[in-house]
Amino acid sequence: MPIVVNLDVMMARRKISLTELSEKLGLTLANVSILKTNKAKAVRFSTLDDICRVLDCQPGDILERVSEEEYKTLLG
Amino acid sequence: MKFRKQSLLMSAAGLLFLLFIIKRPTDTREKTPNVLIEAAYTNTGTVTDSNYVVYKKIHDSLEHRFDLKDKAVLFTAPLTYMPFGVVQTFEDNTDHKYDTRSWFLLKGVSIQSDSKVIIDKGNYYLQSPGTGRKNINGRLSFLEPGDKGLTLMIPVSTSSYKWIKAIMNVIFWVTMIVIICVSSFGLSRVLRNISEGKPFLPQNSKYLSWLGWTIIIVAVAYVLLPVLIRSIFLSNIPGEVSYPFWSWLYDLKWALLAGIVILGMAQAFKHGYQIQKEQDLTV
Repeated sequence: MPIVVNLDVMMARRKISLTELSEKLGLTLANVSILKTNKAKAVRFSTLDDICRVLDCQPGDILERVSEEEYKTLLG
Repeated sequence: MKFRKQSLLMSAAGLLFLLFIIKRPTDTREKTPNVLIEAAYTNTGTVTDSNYVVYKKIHDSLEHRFDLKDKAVLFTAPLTYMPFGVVQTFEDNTDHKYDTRSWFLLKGVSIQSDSKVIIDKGNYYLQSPGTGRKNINGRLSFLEPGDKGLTLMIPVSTSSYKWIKAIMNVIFWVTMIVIICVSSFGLSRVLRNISEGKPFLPQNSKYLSWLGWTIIIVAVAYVLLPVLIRSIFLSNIPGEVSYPFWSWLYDLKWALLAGIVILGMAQAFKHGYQIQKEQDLTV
């Protein structure tokens, strides 16, 4: 699935840690980690809305569509 | 796509089963015991209901009744059955003379409807129109009360009996261990996982699948075993004696249905696991 979640870029810009983000989103650290490491199969609109609200960004800032090869490289 | 293929296979199995139930095979075993009773009528003059009950109660063939009809006491010949009732020894204690004979059993056979059984000096014959009298090379018996059809008893040597007994013991114990392991271990694990709130684990689907296939395979093997026995002794068995395989399989229809239903459940649990996995990775 070649859609990647660039959470770490936005998190670095907003200077927010993973723990703080998970607390503000009301999600477990494990779930946010799943999202950050691109292991998630799906994201709810409600979750996307919460992420954009906390990080003050647009969905396009954290979601990016890449090619299959780039996706495989990213996942290692 | 894989699930669609599996659900199509399950639907096909269900439809085949339904057809099998609707188009019930003609059961040729039902009237077969009458041919042995008719032979008794011929040899003893009259067979009353109480005599027939005596035959069934002593689990013996009609031959014993002929030998002892003038005596006050009827002897019960002890029969030793081996696993699956495939072989037995028979201690014939007529006139207090003990004679152990060994037999290979083909249970649930039916006799061609226009054939007659003739018992003459302890030998069993089949008389059919057009083919004359044929030696059965064995005996016919009711053996178990409520048995459908008759049991064909084929004489075997003591050494053959010992070999068959050893092989059948091994098959029996291996089968019993597999059934006990699959049903108790597998099923208990599934129920435990469900009670712990984890119904959709891959091992649940696997255990249910094992259980379903075990039931189906054991049921079909039970019916196929006499087919194998018949093929070994085919040259000795007259063509008028047949083993109605489809009627026997029909008798086990509920076991087959249980197996199919459990396999369907295994597929449902497998699908459930896939949905659960997706749900777990949905943030």
